[in-house]
Amino acid sequence: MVKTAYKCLIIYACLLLFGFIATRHIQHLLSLSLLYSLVAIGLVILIGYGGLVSFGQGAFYAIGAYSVGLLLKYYGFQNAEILLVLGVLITTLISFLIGLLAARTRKLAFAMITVAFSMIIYTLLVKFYHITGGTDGLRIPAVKLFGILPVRGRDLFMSMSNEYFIIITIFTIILYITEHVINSPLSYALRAVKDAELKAVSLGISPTRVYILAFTYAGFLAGIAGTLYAFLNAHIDPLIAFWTTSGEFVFITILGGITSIYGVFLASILYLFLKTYLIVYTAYYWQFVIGFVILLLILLAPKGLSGIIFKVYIGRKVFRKS
Amino acid sequence: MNNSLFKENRLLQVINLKKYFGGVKAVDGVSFHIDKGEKVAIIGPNGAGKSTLINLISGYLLPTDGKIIYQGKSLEKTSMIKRVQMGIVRSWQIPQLFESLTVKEALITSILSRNKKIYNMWKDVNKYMQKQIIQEVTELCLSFNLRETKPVKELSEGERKLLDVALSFSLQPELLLLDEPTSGVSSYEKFNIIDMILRVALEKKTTVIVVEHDIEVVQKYFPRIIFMNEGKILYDGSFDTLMGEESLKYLLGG
Repeated sequence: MVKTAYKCLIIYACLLLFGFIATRHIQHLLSLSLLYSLVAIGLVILIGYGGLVSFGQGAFYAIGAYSVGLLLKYYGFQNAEILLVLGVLITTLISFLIGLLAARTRKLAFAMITVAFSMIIYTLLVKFYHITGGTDGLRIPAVKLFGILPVRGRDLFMSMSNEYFIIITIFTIILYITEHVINSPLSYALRAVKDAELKAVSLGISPTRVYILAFTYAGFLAGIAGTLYAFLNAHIDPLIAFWTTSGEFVFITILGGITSIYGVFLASILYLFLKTYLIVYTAYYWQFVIGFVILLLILLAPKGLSGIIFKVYIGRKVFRKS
Repeated sequence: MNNSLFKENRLLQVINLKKYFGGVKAVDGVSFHIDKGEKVAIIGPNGAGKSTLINLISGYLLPTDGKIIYQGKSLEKTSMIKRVQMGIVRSWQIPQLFESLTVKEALITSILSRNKKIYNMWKDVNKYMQKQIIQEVTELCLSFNLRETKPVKELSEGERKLLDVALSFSLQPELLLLDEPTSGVSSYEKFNIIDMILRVALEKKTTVIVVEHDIEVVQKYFPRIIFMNEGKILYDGSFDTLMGEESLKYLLGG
């Protein structure tokens, strides 16, 4: 317990320190990767512990972002903290409702239901353009957090940008909470249901209930990431609800090694930096390179980044854990 | 219903239970009753409906017709999970276990499920590790000869069977249904496994119904035997008189 707190504090200190020295561009990229890893951490719970592959996290990401955008535009909420809480609440509620439906399915059917859901959200965002702004998206003004700190800008010490500071703080808190969730009874139930669903039922564990809770938690994380994305990016468009965004999240989770939240944390940083600089240097071939990385990864390190680190760190002989 | 009123130690009563799969009459009008603390073996040739009967009592399958009365309550529509909470716990013929957990973790998962704490996602599991739970796990591991720290995926076939049973016992069941707990293990181990099961069952005063193939095991351990064939109960009584029934001898294989 204390160990977890220290681990999170060290990560927080590193990120904070980094904020003092890094350029604003790097800070923006890092913020974005932290948001991606928030979503991917939800997928670690869902894929790594529960064995359910969701291609719908992009939809929850978008719901979080658009909750902020629409609440700002139509209801004039000017407090970032209220927008944040409302955005997360709305997303969590919707993911619970979708979970009620999706938790009854498994494997391919589950993946298809989540894809279908994200396509519905995408279509709604595009077609109801008189409300959502269609493919043009919405602009998010820099509202203030607690009435003092604007969600974007440079009002803090040295080169630290506000959005970076807000995002790393929330990220660390979520990391700490997720560590608890991973050691909770529910996580054991999730693994039990994943390994042997029928046995879990005969021990009185309801798989549907377990999956609904896990799905809601993953949606909750995607919601937080989405609302913060709206603040960070200043502009949101429906493309974040498209299934390719969800695909990116799944890819990051696989890249990180599906059971390690620190693995996906590193993976999302690697992925976004790789993608950004590849676009800079090879505007047309970045997908080719990404595809090549996936291929290499599946062939050489099926356990992802965390697997590689584990191998190097602990040594080959002790490496038996799967 | 009248019967269950004046017999207070009656645990389970099955009345004219039927399960048809299309034209196949897997269980066809079965009636019997079981008192608290009884140890019963169900035997019979393949396809006799033994497993289906267990599936019906445990709630995995719903009957086509008939009644299952457990502690005075009718069970036909009750879900499997509800029945587990009422105290009817079963094991499976081929044990499916939690491959990513250790023996201890699997047992703790089961105990947390019994204590209705399994859906908590904010509290660390270690917070639930009171002395008595740890002691319970240790005791179960001891009585079934399992090593707590061993990962489930490294267990031998016999140990898997034992863990399956240990998991069932960790729920503190009233009625334990074991579907062939000795299938797939050597005949030497068979006696050992049944011995352990019945010792713990006696200690915890659990009523046990076992589906068993091995006649020697049945003869040695079970005072009451239900013999099934083609979905019907042909015999219900002690082993000694079963051997006397000329009409059944050919089914027992001599």
